[in-house]
Amino acid sequence: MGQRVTRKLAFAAVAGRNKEDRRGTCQDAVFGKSLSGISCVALADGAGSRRLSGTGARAAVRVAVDHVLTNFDILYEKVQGGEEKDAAASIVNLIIEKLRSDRFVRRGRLEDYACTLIFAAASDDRVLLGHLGDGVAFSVSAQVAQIASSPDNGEFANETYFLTARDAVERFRLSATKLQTPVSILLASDGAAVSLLRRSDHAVAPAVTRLCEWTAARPRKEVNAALKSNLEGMFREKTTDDCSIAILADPRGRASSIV
Amino acid sequence: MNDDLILRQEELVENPTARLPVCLVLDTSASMTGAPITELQEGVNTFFAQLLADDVAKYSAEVAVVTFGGNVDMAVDFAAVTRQTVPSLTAGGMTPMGEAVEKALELLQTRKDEYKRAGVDYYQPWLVIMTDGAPTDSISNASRLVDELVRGKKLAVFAIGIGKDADMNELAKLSGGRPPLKLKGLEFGQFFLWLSASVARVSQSVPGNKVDLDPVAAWASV
Repeated sequence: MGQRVTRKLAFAAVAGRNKEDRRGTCQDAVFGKSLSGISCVALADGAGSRRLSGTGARAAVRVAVDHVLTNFDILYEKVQGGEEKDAAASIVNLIIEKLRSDRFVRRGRLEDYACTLIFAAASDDRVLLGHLGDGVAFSVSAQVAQIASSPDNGEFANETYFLTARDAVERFRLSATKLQTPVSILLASDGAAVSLLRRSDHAVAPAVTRLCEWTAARPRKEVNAALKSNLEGMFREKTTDDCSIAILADPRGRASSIV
Repeated sequence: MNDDLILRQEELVENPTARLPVCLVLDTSASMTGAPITELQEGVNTFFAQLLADDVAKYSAEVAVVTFGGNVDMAVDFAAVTRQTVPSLTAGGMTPMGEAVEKALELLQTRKDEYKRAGVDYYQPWLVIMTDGAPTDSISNASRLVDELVRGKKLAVFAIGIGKDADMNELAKLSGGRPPLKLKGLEFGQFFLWLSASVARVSQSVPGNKVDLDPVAAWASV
């Protein structure tokens, strides 16, 4: 590829139906930002019954995005050079440090902030993907969507791996890829993935491509509103869990059919 | 919002609801004759009815029933409760509890394998054992298997003794370390109401949920 490219971002999160009768807030968090030609989106899913996990998720996405944007080259080189665990440790430890800071720690134990994390960052033709827990990352290239990073669950439906666990660094997966063609990436929490990934045969929903196309072609504000509306209207009907999506789209990959 | 930014249902995929397999292992030996078997039957009827009345549990819960009274029988195999018929329970014979528990564990493992093959998510399986007596066969193998599964957090066991003749020491060997509870009188109805409410709660849980079950005071004696 070679040329400079500015990615387009979109993200939204909605509380699940299991919160409706308890006035609960959404424990999924999404965030994204671009800085000096590097773009990053992140999504974190707070642990169900942990009372501050939504706060943990919101802190995790912000810390992860800022850290990755500032240190993209270092992290990318580390992962390419086989030092994934070092790179993972720098991300996980920074988030834990943040959660342990006075502002957070006075409100609870570290485990109360338990959440998963998934992020995607891109700078020109380089993409960095990080993943812990039961979210999923899809990639879309030439209108073909596939799984870029699969969910990492325990055996049972209500088990997964969290940033606050002792083995978080060990389980944190990182990949660094040099792209040959334009690629968009869509991150989904396990709640949203119920509508996007068929578990029996790993089929990816056509919606993944369409959401990436919207992001590539439309203003962020418009796509964020559309994401929220679709999450509330359709995704949430298929699960009781919170639902969230974050997209990092390459506008060069946008399909003519949608504009 | 623009109308063209609305997804169509066909653009999403369908996934089955995560399942919670529950195996009831019920004593139907001769000592259960009379009021106990009648009350147990009522309780099991209530259990199925309550699960069907819950919007989430009716698609999530899957129940199998193994009875031990003379023979060990699989009265109901695992399936969605919406497609099951409540078994008719009759009392008679000895109490082959060890064999019944082994049968239940085999059914649970088979069902988990089926879920895996079909790409269906599932919750930690539940084993519910109810007896009013003492086993008349060896329970050592069943006890070892239960211990192994409970230690590995692969199984939740609810062991319930009925009446004064229930051998709580033997039952404890099948409960994976959690002390068995004694049913208050013949409060099967209360127990199965509690059980169905607990199933409903777990079947709505998401990763990271610690599910607190209701107090057992309505049906368990201290």
